[in-house]
Amino acid sequence: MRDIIISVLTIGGFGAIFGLLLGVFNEKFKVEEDPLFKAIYEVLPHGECGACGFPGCHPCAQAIAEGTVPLTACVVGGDEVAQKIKKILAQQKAMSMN
Amino acid sequence: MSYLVNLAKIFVSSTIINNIVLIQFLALCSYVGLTDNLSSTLGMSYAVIFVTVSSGILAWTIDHWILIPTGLQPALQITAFILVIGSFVGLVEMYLKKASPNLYKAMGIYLPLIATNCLILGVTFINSIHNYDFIESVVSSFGVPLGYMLAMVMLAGIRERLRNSEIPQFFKGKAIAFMITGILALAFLGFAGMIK
Repeated sequence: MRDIIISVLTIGGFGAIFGLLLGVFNEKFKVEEDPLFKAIYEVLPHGECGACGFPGCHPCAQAIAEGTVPLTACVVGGDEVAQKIKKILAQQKAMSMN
Repeated sequence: MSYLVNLAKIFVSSTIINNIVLIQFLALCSYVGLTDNLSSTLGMSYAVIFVTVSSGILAWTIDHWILIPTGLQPALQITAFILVIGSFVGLVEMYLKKASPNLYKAMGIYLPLIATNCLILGVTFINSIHNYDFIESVVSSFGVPLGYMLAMVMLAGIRERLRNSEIPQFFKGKAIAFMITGILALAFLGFAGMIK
């Protein structure tokens, strides 16, 4: 029992400390992100499956925002996600027209 | 004096004689996957050196100050070491994303995969198994990724030259890289037995 308590306390404590430090560094090294990319990233399924050919949803959303891949790039999301992305892109276009 | 000689022996042994890639055959995924151009090779090597040295130091501290006194050393080693390594990899990833987005893109999936790179966990375990003291484990955690960098740069240079040479179609890409690795490993076998 003593061993379990010690291990939970030490590993949990280290996890908490490292998590806190990483959170601080994340704020410090924050990269300004494109709002269009952010909106597309929100819509993607976040499965990080890599079926689109990118290592994860993050680079896939970036490629869609830049227009280097079609908006149907996400295989898992299918038609539903493609429609949402289409709506976002249309909104973006309307905003840039004004 | 003999302590300094001992440190030099550990350094040469971890860099060349027991080269992590070519003799122990660890960390092969990034070794073959990232050596198509020299700049991403160097970026990966610097990232691995930073993560290995810092997590080697922290892992030694945790091992000797917490795990051994509480008697939890063999049971919790993997968990504690992976925790340390993962945190440093997260730090490197955030830094690279800010400092050089191009390198971040070029390294792709291999950057987060440093966390599961067998080299770094291997170094922390080598330090623990050989019962290195603090300075010895710092030297060893610097020497091993330096040997990794040596092997990476060698393969990257050879592969850059291979681009313009005629090789059979079915050997192109990863296949020829593995064959070169085998030949390099044979060459490095010549160093075996230099230090008793």
